[in-house]
Amino acid sequence: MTVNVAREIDTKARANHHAVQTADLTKRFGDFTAVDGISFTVERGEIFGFLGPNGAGKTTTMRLLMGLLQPTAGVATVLGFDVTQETMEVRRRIGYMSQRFSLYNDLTVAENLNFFGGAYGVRGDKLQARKEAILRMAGLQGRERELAKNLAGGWRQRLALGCALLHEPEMLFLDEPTAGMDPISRREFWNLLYLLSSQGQTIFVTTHYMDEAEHCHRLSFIQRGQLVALGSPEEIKKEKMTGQVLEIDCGKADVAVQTLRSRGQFGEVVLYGALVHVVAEDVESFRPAIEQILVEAGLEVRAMQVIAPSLEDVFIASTREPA
Amino acid sequence: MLFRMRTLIIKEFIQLFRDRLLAPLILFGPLLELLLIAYSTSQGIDHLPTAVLDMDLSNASRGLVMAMENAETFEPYYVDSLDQVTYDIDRGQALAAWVIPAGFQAQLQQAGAPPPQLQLIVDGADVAAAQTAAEAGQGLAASYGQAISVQTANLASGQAVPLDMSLRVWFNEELKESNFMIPSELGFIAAAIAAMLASMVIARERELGTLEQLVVTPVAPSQIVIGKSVMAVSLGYTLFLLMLGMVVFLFDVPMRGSLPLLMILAFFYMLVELGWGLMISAVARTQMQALLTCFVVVMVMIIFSGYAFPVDTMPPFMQAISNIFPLKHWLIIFRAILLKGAGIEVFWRELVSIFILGIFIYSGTILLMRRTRLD
Repeated sequence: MTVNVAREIDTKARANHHAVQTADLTKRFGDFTAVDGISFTVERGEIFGFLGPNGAGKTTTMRLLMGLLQPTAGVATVLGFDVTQETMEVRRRIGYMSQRFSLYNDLTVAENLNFFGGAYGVRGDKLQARKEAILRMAGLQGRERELAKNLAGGWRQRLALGCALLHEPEMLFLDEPTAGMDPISRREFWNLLYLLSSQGQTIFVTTHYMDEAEHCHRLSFIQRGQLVALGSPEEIKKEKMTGQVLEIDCGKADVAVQTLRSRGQFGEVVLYGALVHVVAEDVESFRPAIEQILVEAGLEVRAMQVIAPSLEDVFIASTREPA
Repeated sequence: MLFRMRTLIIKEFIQLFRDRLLAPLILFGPLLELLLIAYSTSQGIDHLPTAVLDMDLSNASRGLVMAMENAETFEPYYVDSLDQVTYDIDRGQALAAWVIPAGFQAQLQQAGAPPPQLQLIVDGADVAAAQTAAEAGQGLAASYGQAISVQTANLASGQAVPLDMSLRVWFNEELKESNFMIPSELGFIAAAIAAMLASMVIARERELGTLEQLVVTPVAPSQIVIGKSVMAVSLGYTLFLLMLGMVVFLFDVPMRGSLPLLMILAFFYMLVELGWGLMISAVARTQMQALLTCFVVVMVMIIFSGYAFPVDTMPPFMQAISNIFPLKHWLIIFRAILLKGAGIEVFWRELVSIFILGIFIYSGTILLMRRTRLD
């Protein structure tokens, strides 16, 4: 009894804590440093986006926070609990959904919900109520008896999200939850996340979709295990994007990129879909030179304008900086 | 705690039965195998094609062949030469051959003469048939000798004349007690299946990535392993009971010992064997790896533990190695209970051996699982 009371007081005290707080968090696998001394905080109630190219350390960081890996150095707390010392306390309070389809394909929708309910210790009337709420949220009412493997991608990911939410976790960890989804499903999925966020849900999400990153309250860029930027999308754009972006539409964009790069005088030249982006301090001054080079190379310059940088421009600019 | 366990166990059973093929295959595959083995080894072996080379061509020799025909074990036909005997046995046309030497009748009827020689040749390559032929042949010769001696009692001095039959087994010179496939199959397969099943279902979660999802919940890794083990052992033990019932009721294999004792010990043994299945699951990343590793382990066990070949005939070095397999000790216990009606006082040493091996297996399993962790 006294223990319970003590724990309750303890929990209340921790309620004022950051959702996530890390200090010099490091993970090495042999000679390879996957996460290299990163420090950041996630506040309660925000959607915190974790961006980075593949292999940058996104998933490793998330696994460290959930106690799936032991840090080589540094500390991390989730909801005020130390991830190495109080792993079970952390796990009771978080929901997790991985990039892979993390449900049981050979179980039905209802069986998956029952199982994860049981695993989190949700039972009886409470479980019934949560199941109904989640089926409604995921739009899966009336499909309880369908096998998970027969659901289309978007439905499955929503069910997986639902399973991660069954026990009303204080915090959600989503590891590239929309990987491989079609744009409409992605949009619907993110609408769900906004809804949850508006209800006060803290969400930690990794992604490499830039449009998704724009929708996070705060972001961090991770590259080669190190944080290269941290802040709201606007802050990051202001802070990291010292240059301007010149967008060129010229038919063979790949040829144009090669041609301009070979000159080595125009800052960053990157392929942006079917377009070319040139990023530099005073990009306007390059304009005549660039046009001339492209025309000489036999390319037709259809349009050329200075545009507001997108997160993708920032992302590419910051990941190219020497670490 | 208990609620979590129940959830985990229910889920395993749902998944087991959702796969329409798996459970029936696991249960009826071994049953069918046992049925075939039992049928082909324990049903009467009779009407063996038998070449007879009669070099005596007497009443006595014809009488012997007649007796052979009446006994139904042999289906005799005459050949003219020893070459023909060799040829027929080589080609599998005859599974046995009798050679009745010239002077058979004379020797039989002459008081004081040494017993007449008969030769029975059996094809040792077919162990079960060879054994049946040898046993039946000896019985036949003994009773025929008796009958002749009764008939000839007046002529001779009244002494029974035994037939001296020389038995030659070809191809497998040391024909030994080998018809123990049924108890072996019964004693081992169910436990091996439980171990394989446990290792496969754990590897499956890891392969599909659901294990990671599971490990992030407040469920302890040990609970996950226990949940799967309960399912695997339930299925394995059901299989064991079905097989035992089939063997005892359908094939009249004697059940001389205590049934409750056998059932308790079989369960205990299954838990010990489960240990290596769990050990494999700690290292196997995919179901295929788990399955193939189990397969290798089973093959090694079969070779070393007297499942198919008697341990006594192995070189001393191999015999020593065989002691580290629980299966070897279990087969001794199993045969002792089933066939000899023995109690613990007879095989307590084997029981202690299994227990000690079990401690080793589980220590290794726990160490490995700690090191690799479930994810």
